Amino acid sequence: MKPDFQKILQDHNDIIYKISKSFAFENYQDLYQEIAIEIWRSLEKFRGEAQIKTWIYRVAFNTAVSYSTKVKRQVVNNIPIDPAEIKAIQENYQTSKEQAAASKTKVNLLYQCINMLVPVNRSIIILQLEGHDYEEISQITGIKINTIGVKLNRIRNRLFQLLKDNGYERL
Amino acid sequence: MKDYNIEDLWLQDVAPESSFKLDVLPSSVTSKFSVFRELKRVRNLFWWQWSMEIIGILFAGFQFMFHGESITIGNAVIAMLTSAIPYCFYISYFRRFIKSINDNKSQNMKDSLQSFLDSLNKYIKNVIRLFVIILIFNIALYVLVSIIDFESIGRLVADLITAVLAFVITYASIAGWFDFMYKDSVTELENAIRYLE
Repeated sequence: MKPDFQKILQDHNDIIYKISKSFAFENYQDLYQEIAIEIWRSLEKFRGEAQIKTWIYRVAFNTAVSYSTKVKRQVVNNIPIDPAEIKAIQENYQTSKEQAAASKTKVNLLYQCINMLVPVNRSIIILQLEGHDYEEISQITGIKINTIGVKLNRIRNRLFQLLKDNGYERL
Repeated sequence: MKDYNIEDLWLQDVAPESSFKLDVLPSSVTSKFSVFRELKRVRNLFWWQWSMEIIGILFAGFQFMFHGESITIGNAVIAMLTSAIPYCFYISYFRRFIKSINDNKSQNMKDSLQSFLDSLNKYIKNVIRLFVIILIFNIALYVLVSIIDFESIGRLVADLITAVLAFVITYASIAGWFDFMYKDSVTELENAIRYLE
């Protein structure tokens, strides 16, 4: 039986949203649309050989990689976080409203830094952040399981460096 | 290297509620979905109808060949109605859809659909034109059959004449149907679908 498209989109909305933001921070809505369309188009080909979640990840990552190759926008390089914005947040850090704003900025910075990684590394870190183990990451990305650990270590270090360089601690 | 708690940050961000449902996705997506589905439906309709009409024309040709009956005016009227009515509906649908596309990003799709719409309009005109031709053919055949005394010229010659006439009608109908009606519309339709794919 053909899976229900709308239900699939609802069930995986969160991960499609996060993948979209990690690959196209500024234009994530466009990428979200592209992924949704790709899922809709590919549903006929889904034969239930893989788990639906694994399949969604594959479709989403493939679409996101193609999209980012096409667009080629390095958001953080081109649009660094405005220092005035950081200062304003720091000055008002005590109030809960600003705390929320700072937290949002940190989250956005995380997305932007993920966006600066090589596409395949973005996929790996997203899967780890989503709580998948090495075997699942290997299954989805097609990367050998025994190299995942080393790769993840390098990716995390690179990500922390990017966060630091882009003022994570000042937020 | 300092270990930031990126896992917590990652979990903090939750997809907006609004993107949970298809009907609240940006309109360009839902439009793209519906027009894609409709275009495929029109394409299928084209090929089904064309196949059915070929069978119908061949059947009428055989009927004429073996029983001396021509394609009746009734057949022609039904053919015209079944051909034209679904397309009138689609023309109105696409006209509304094209009007609703306002953003520059969709200009290519708009142009593509506009040429499809133009060819569909041409198709409708051709259907009416062919209907008139079939009508004239039928009247001519009726007159011919009334004038010629088949019994006096012999069964063989009569069969030959009817077979040739049947062949001419069938061939002209199929060739005309395909070349002058379907070809342009189907090409434009395929272009529109290819653009959306």
